[in-house]
Amino acid sequence: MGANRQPVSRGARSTLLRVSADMKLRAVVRLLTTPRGGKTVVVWRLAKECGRQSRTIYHWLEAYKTLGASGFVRKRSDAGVPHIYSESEFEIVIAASVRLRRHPHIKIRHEWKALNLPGSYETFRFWVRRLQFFGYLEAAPTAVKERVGA
Amino acid sequence: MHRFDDAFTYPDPQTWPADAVQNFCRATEPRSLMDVFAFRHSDQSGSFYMEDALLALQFLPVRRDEWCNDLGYPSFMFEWSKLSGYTQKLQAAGYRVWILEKAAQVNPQRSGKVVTITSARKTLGRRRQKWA
Repeated sequence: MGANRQPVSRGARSTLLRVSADMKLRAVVRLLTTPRGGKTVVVWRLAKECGRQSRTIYHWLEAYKTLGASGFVRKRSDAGVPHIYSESEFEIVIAASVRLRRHPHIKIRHEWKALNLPGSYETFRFWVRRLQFFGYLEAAPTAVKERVGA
Repeated sequence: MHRFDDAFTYPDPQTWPADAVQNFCRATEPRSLMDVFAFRHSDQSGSFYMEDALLALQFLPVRRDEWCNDLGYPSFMFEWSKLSGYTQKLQAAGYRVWILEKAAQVNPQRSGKVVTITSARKTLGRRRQKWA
């Protein structure tokens, strides 16, 4: 009774191939240009080639019809916003990045220890460097529009 | 008309001429999603058509004067000397570039005959070379 069943390893990786936006567009264009009567076979072939189910191809088609080619580009709504810091904590990081830029002799690690922020030193350094390099506007588009330094 | 940006538009794929699509398929099949076909018109010029033109738009530096929708489907006409650079970029994105040539250029005995691209596609559908 079920002796041949193999346990599914918890760490098993997905075998799905990554399908880029340009591949999705090509698949949809190929489907749209296929005359009636042959679409089912084409969908089946495309699904097999992409390692997806047939209905996924139809989902892509709907996305294309709704949003055009840009429908395949998935952009995170929280891109550029740190997850680990709250809004007030991020304000502190911004202030620290300004302070560190004005006073280069201050070590980032000392600043990090003094502020006692959540997250690792590497996270803090990443955001300080990012803010210093790209400025506040690019680093955190949802936050106050003010450039660091000048 | 769909847009990638303001400069480039292309007709809805559902409105592309059926005979042109059929010719394209006949010339290029069997093909996978990762196969891109460059049609060689002469030593100076070549083209990407239809879905390959759209792909070129995403990966290659297409100029406005190289882009054309006059045939009812998108086409990207380029100087043939640029193909090696284009190939590198497309290969970097995981695509394989194939070249389709006119019959007259492959078979010298037919060199006196004028061969249209359309008939060349039919003739050379299976005869394609991987760009090295």
